[in-house]
Amino acid sequence: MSTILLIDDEPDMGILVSMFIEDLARVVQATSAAEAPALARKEHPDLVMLDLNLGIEGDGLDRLPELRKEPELAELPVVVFSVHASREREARSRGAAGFVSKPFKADALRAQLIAHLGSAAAADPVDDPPHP
Amino acid sequence: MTPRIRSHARAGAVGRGVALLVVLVLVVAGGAAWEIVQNRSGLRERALERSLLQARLQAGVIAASVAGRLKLVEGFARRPSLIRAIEQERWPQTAAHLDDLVQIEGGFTGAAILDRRGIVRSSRPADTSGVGEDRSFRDYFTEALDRKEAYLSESFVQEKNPERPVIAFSAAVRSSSGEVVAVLRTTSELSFAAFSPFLEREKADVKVFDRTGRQLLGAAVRDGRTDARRLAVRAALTGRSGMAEFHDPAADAGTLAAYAPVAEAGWGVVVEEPIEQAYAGSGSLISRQLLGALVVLAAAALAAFHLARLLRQLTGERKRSHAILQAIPDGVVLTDPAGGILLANPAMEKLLGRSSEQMRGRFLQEVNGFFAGSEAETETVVKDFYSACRRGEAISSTGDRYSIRSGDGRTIPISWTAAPILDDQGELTSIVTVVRDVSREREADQLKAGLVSTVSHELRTPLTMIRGFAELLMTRELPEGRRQVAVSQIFEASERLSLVIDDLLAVSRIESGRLVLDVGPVDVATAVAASLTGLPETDRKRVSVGIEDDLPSLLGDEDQVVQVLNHLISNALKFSKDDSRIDVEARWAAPVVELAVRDRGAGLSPKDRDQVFDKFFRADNRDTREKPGTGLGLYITKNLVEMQGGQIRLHSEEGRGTTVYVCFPPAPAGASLSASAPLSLRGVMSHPGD
Repeated sequence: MSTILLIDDEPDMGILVSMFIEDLARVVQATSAAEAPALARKEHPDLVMLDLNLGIEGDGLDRLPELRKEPELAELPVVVFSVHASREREARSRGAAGFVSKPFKADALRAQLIAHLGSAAAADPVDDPPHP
Repeated sequence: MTPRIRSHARAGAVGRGVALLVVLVLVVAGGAAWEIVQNRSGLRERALERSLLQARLQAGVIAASVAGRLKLVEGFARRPSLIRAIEQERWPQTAAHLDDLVQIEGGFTGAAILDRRGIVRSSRPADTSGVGEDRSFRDYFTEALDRKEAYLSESFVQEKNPERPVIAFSAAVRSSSGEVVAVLRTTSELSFAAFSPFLEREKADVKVFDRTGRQLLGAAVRDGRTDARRLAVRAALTGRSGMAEFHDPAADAGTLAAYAPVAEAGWGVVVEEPIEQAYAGSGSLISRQLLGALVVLAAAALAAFHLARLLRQLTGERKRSHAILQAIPDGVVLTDPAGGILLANPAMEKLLGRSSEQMRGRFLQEVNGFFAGSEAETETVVKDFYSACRRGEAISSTGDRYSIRSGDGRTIPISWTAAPILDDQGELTSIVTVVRDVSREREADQLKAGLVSTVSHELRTPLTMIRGFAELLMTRELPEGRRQVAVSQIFEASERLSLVIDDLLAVSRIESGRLVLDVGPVDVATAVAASLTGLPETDRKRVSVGIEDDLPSLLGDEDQVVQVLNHLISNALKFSKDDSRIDVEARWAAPVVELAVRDRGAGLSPKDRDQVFDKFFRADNRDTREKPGTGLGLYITKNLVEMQGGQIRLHSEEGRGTTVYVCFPPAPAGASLSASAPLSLRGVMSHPGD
């Protein structure tokens, strides 16, 4: 099964997301960008979901180059997960593969994750195939 | 500094008028004196000469006065700013020019602008009853239309003041293509005071006639029309001067008349004197020379008086301009047409970090750089700037791409407006540029964008939770355990949402000034107790309360004092360990009542201490990351305290905890007052009741 690393300062966001996609992937959450590399080394995620508003850490996109320095995260598709729907274009131009706006609809969330997990899974055949 | 703004154009016109007057007076008086010295034959000759001299003198002075006014009106009609105002039909602005004209010592009693159809569009002194009236039939309108120079009208009476006839000086106002766009008309009262104020007329009877032979000035001729007098008038009107003797039937006496033409106006002057008086009172040559000298002196004195007055006006304007430049908070820089700096005001000196002296004669771009995005863009802007100025147009910056280097090397975002200063001929003489440092506006914009982003995050995050878990409950068959999780998440998120909304509303009420305080004596123990009732049992057990005996009531709004304590106590609980104690203490710290809330949490770094009362501030530590909050609590608290005339401060040590102190003024003994203005509370605080 694939693993999604959710970086979001809202502590319970991971519970919500995982309840929507438990058939697709398991979710591990870092409540700050600073914690993400260590968690990535431990969990070997296939995709990163990145909140844009990381509270005192500032803008999620600003933290992205730093996250990319971690070898585990360097190549992973990043799906931005934000309340600021107007920033989708900017997010894509700064390296995001996908965008899900909050509050989200189940279909939109799943479609984005399936699309980008698919490519990740194909590139890394060692992973468990998604549940039917 | 020598700010010369509008005054130099006016000074030029008036100066030329005064100079012309003085020269003419000197020529006439000098010529007269010369003639007197030359002619030493007989008493009668001298009497005749004296009369002739007086007629010429009168005519010369009146001519100078008319010529000066014609020039003045002509000059005003060519003012580029007046022409522009008329072309754009900004009539109220034309009135300012009329004010200038009437205020000048030109002897004008009124001025008006008539449009191409002869309708009065503005007038000074403001005469609303006259505005809009059709004057197209007047000679001052029709005659001015076809002339390049100013026109002197026939005399006429105005409705307002039919007793006193007036005369108009008018000139066509032309656009740059030479087309007449309006007529500028001024009026002068017909009196000797207005036309030859310093000439003696006591002994002689001076009369002035216009080109049609109508009498304009002097005692009216009654029952004394003689052919000889008519001939004298006609001779003067055709440009001759001379003498005539005739019998005046009204006085039944011989009359000596001297006549002379008024060159500029096409008028004639006739000076009459009874023959007996003329020949008896001719006096000695010396006294006549003295008269000549006195006339010259009087003319010089008058000119000096006018010049002194003008100088005073100029000095006054200079002082005003100087004061305005000093006081204006924006940078103002005056440059020559090529861009060399002539002067800069203190705000500009401060902005650039250089004195006016250091900048004089250099180019702004050289001194401090001027950027408009790229180099090519800068070049285009500079080019546009100068071509607009040469066209006489003001130009302003657009967009937010302009910046300038400050004295200490910082790049300061600016906005600017420049206006050209043109002379009477419409030539560019200098450019005044106002430069505004817009750093603060930029910061405010960024702050506002930041606030909008924070607010939308704070509202949408709990909404995401509510919506998400609600969707799960609606669309999926969840096991009981998960249902419980979803429901409690929805509950918690909606609680948070409601707190965020409460905080935002509180901020909105505070900032818009809609929060009305009901101020009175507040018992501290009651307020503390009220603030603890809302807490869960486990939290309440952590709070230890200590209130000094005999503590006076404080002066404030009880609800808001409780709010303040609520915020402080819940902050203290939130940012310290679950089992640590919170102290709430109150004591008399003359001259105020001091409340203190102490926790034993992580404390704040020195940097965070300075910002903790800022809007949306959240300290950078692990605690705050895990605790939800808007970052508005302490901002609201500080504002509530200060609105009640109190003060808030904070003592914090990293690793040892934080104490927030709040001071309120004591309630005056026995007083029960009510007020909503913090100002009145501050007054109470500085004179505390005992």
